[in-house]
Amino acid sequence: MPAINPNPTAHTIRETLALLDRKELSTVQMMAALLTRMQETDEQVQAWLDVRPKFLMELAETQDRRRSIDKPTTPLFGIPVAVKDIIDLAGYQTVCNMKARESVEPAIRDAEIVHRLRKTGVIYVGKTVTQEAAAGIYSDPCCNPWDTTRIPGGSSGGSAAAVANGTALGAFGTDTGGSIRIPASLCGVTGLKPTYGRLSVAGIFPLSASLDTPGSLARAVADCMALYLGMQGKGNDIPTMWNRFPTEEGSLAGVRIGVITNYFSDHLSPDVEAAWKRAVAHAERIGAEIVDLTWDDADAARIAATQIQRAEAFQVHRDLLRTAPHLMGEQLRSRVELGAVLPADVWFTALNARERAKASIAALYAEHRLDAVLVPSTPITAPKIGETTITYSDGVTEDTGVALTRLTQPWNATGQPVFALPAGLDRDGLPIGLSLVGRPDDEWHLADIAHALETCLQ
Amino acid sequence: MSTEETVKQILAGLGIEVPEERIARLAVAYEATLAQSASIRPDTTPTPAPSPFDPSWETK
Repeated sequence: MPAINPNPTAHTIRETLALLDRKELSTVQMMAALLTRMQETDEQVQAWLDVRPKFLMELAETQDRRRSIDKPTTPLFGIPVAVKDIIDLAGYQTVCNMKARESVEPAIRDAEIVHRLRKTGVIYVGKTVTQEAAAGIYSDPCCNPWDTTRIPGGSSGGSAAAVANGTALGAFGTDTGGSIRIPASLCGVTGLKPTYGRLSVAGIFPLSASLDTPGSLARAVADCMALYLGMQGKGNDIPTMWNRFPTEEGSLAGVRIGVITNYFSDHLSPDVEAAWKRAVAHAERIGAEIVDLTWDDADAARIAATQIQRAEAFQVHRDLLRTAPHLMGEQLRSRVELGAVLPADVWFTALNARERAKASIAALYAEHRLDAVLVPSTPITAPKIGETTITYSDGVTEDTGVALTRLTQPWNATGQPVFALPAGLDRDGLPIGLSLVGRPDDEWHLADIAHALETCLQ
Repeated sequence: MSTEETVKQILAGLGIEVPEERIARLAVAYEATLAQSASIRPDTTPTPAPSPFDPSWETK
């Protein structure tokens, strides 16, 4: 198996900050190691698009000079971060993996969340590969660093692969139907899809305006929250935030976690199902109260999110479809053509179904006094490149794209915050991912639970 | 009118040219989408649902 195992020496953001603070590591050393790893592996992984090594080394030297004069006053000083290539980074093109945008001018300013996080002192390493227009789950030509014959997931596939491969400590992603959680799951990293609307989308190429949700990918829950704070413009809160996440095993005493036994348990690979059960047992062992329940609107929520996305994607790509459809990849073109012909009735039915799904999940959380729900992120681990159909052990087959979004899309419809957590490896040595789903605007409580869980899931 | 003709008519109205060889597959996707839409349509006229961002989330 042509695997590139994730860098065993890779640290979290928190650990790296401590090393930098104690002068056991310099920014130049870290950047040099990162660029070397990129040079050695990215020809195969292909997570990166536009990286400028000379500029990055100069930036690292400048940071080290500043550090030698005084203690850094910015909380993520020197931390290397990747930017998904649908998000504007000043001076870089935002191509979105679209032929029609290959000659687009470089962005003249950062996207709002990039601008805000920049103030924390991070170093933007460059742009990472995405699926064409962020509409899909392959992120071609990026490969999964755990096995380069497999996909990294999408559409934030390059961002997840870069973090997993040790060429970035954190990354920006966006999630419209699972685009942070799917690649996080397939690449074995942590992802945060915040509540819909919590982070600005200014300067981000849209896919579906009422679903698009930017977020973070990293190697730990606390790291994702540090990036999230920075993206909100609350970087000053980061230094004290670390204390919220103790390094010893956490407790979930008093926490009620729901386990949805219908829909999310359908057609899972046996290893994913086993990892889910193990995680539930771990949660119970550290004090959580587990509540089995069913949610009848899960499939309707998925259908609603799909149909809303089709209609809104047509709005974005209408002119391109009219004037230069030959510049669109087959998958994007098919989606947009379908969005074009959908009657308004379909759109309104989907909007109504979304509202019903929001109401019914809110009622379940209230009825069972839930803090979070724990379900698999994806029913399978990373499929092979070109594997268009998944066959489950019961003989049922499913389109790969549908399989990978089946368990993520309902949470786009409801707009709830979700942590994607790595939960061990399957029998082929591929990462398994679980989703911890919180109450709207309750990211901090969700992060506390996710942090307590992550220490026993690995 | 067949589904293929319906699809062609909608596209023409929008000023979008789609090659003939793509129409059949688009018509199948269109029919599948209508069927899925019917499956999530309530039997009764929908009334505005309470937002989950409202107090119903606060009862824990």
